[in-house]
Amino acid sequence: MEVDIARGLAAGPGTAAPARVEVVLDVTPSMAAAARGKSSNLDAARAGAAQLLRALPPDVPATLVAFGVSGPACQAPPLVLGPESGRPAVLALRAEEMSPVAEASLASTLDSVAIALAEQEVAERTRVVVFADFASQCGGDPCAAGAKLLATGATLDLVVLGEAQVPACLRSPVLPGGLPASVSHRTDANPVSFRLMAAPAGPARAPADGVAGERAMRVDPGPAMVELALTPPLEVPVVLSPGALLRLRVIDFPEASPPLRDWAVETAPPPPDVSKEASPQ
Amino acid sequence: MKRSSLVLGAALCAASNALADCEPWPGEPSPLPAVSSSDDLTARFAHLRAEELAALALQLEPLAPGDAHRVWLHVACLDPQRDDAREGAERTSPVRVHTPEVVHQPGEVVPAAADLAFAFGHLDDPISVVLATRGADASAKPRATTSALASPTVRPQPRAAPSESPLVADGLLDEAEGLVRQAHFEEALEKATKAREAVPPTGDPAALGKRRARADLIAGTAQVALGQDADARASFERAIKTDPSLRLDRASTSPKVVRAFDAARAAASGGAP
Repeated sequence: MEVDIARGLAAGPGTAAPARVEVVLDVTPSMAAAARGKSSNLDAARAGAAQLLRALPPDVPATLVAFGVSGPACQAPPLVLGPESGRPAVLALRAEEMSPVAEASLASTLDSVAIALAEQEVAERTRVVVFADFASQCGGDPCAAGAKLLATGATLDLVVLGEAQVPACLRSPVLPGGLPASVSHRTDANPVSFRLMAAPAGPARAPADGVAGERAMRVDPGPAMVELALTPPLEVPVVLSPGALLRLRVIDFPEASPPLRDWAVETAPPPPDVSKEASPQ
Repeated sequence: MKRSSLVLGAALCAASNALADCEPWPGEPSPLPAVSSSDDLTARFAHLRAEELAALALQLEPLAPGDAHRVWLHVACLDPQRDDAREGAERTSPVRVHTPEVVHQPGEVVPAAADLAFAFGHLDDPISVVLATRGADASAKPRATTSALASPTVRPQPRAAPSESPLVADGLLDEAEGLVRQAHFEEALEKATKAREAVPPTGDPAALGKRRARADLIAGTAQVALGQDADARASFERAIKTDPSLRLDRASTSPKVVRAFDAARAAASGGAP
């Protein structure tokens, strides 16, 4: 016989951690060029970042990441201020005060943000907002950096200032697959054990233990009871036939309201590796 | 099958392909069940799983939109006919591009939002940039300006001195400026207030006036940052009345502070605010 169990979500953490915001601000000198009587992209970037920071809910931690505010050109790391919580005006004012010093790379800035978010284990609840003209003078691969950032689970808002186009790979990136962290936290990965016992009114039977999802085990035919170590335990009466594989399939949704379970008992020809040994199964 | 379902299926096809072709997550049967399965238990699992993941995705949207997006796509794999899965995936798209217009006039101040979605909903709004006017003399080098805000300094140590003396006042003013540079505006305001009180009532009137004006200028700058606009204006007006030669270094001062200072100067000189 063999047992398969498919489970729904397990109980989750009581309170969710708050979302976070990272504002990435391009303060490079190339942003500062302005036509007569018009503002520069830098003016717009600073104003837009400050506008967003002042609009954030007070309980949302925010970080300001400015690149281009120090030298040497294309090598200096970005200036990181925060995270600040409850004082968005502080970062807004700092954003308005940022002055260009040297060219810097958007790609390496996004890369450093991705690394920091992953290290802090806050990426999946972080929204990254970039205020830039997307005409970086320092090279780097913004597509790779953007993909790395999205792979952490963070989201990306690109605020485009000026006439430059956002690379297509950033507009429509290949999204990461796999289990999201928020679901992983609520997925019970522990295997479920079961015990095959004598049925209440059936003949005596030596108990046999197994683990759901593992290969079929050989047991004696006749009526029996399968007890699965779920919460609460589940008992399923079965009748094992000689020369056949009994498959017990269970679905278990402990967090449904009300909790839901269902199962099916099926009989099939035994798999070759079991049938070669001995019957009955 | 309804037309909307066909559209939904097509819309989600590309996204699902990007997510490893609806691969099962750990703990799920392989291949990933679908509600259309001919096997009752498999179909029932797909339905229940889609239900619980859709509920989870809704919870995740405001907190972890990137995760919510992946969950919505997985829901669509389990049950391609769910409209809420398509809508949820669109709502939580992990990349958004905004191209706001830039306007050269004062815009409406967006108040702090109750939730992030509201704040981010304004990213496509026009960005208001007020161009600096040619009123002030940017080349002037006043003694008391906020220009030092842009240059790194170390927070000065408190000095031991009588509570009311030029030395105490200068020390407190240095500390207050350092606090402004570090964005500790509440503490800066407190220090600036103390510094003003520490300026002795007697001595060289011009020097004392400069100190008081400097204290008011720092206080006003901190008040702008803290959103205390009326107090900031009063501080700036007081500073300008005490030292009419007071100028800001516009190259290194926040545009918002410059605007508040200019408005105070206009009011102090009897012009329109």
